[in-house]
Amino acid sequence: MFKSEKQPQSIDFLQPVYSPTDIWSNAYMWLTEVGKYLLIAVEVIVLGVFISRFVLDKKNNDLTEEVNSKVTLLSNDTWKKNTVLFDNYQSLLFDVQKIREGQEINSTAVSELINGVPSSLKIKNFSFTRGKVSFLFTANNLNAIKNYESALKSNTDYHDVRFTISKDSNEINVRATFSLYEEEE
Amino acid sequence: MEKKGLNTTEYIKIIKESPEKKKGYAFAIVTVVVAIALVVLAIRPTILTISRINKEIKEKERIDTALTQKISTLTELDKQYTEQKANFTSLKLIYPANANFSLLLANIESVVSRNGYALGSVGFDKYDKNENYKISAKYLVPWSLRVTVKGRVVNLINLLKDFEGMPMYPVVESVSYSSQVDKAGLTTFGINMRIYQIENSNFYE
Repeated sequence: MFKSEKQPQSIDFLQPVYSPTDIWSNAYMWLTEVGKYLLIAVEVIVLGVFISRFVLDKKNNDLTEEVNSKVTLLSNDTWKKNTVLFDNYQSLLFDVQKIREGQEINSTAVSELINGVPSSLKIKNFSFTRGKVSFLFTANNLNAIKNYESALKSNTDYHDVRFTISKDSNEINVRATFSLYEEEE
Repeated sequence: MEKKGLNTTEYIKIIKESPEKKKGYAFAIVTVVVAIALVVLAIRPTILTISRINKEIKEKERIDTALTQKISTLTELDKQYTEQKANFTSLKLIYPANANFSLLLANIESVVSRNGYALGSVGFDKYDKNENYKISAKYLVPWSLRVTVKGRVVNLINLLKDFEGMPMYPVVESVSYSSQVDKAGLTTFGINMRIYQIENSNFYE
């Protein structure tokens, strides 16, 4: 015959009616009193995350497919060729703009040099090379040479002006060399 | 046996050392430990996973936007290129990619004769870069063009201006002449110009 455990009869509130003493009974008590709420809370969080993961995974997969399809489209030979071609043209147009705006035009400088020579000096030889100018003149009098020399030396566009004068039988030979100041780009 | 009566001090002692209080402490410690274990072992990994997937999604969205932008730009450029194809084709002649300066030569001949000069010789050579050349272009590389022409000094400036006015943007780098004339009374001029070409032969393909 089963006999129910006899519960102590007491009205002592400081001593609980039933208080287990072994560890397994305490663990069971804890699980039923506190642990269940913790577990439920964790299960709720995990379940929520599990469901949201379905949604996120779907979104992730859709995006992957979309990106892959676009990459495949761009990997097409025609598209690849066009990409390179357009890039080249764009760079070329930038280059053209650079040389159009960045380089100095020398025809105007040469024009000023030749037109700046007074009529009393006859050009025997002229050479303009990357801003370096060399003239060989003949003249009948020294005044014209002196005037031209001082005109060149006072012009801020020219520097390092040098004149070499030699006298022939009837004419005076003059070699003038100088440089053009190059403007900064 | 006579039951001994309890005084206040003993009651307080009973309360302080009550097994219920000990059980309460034990429950609290176990609860904290289990909570930490659940946070570390269950919640943290799931949050990390979600955050990783979110990062992946953000990255893929960024890539997707960039790719969409690229496709739309290329489509637009393709449309513009088709409309302006004739102009772009002329760029091949102006800045040749295979040293084929046929348009330049045709233009030079035309400019020279228009200014009353006769073309003596034309030669191309590698450009010797100097301190005055400061342009840093990505594809256009300078090339040297040497031209000798016969004519009169009076037309020289117009000839040089016309040379520099050609669509290839050439620059006259050197000019030389002497007062010596031939039987027809014409002077020989040596003109050196900087022109441009593209070294990559597949540039336009």
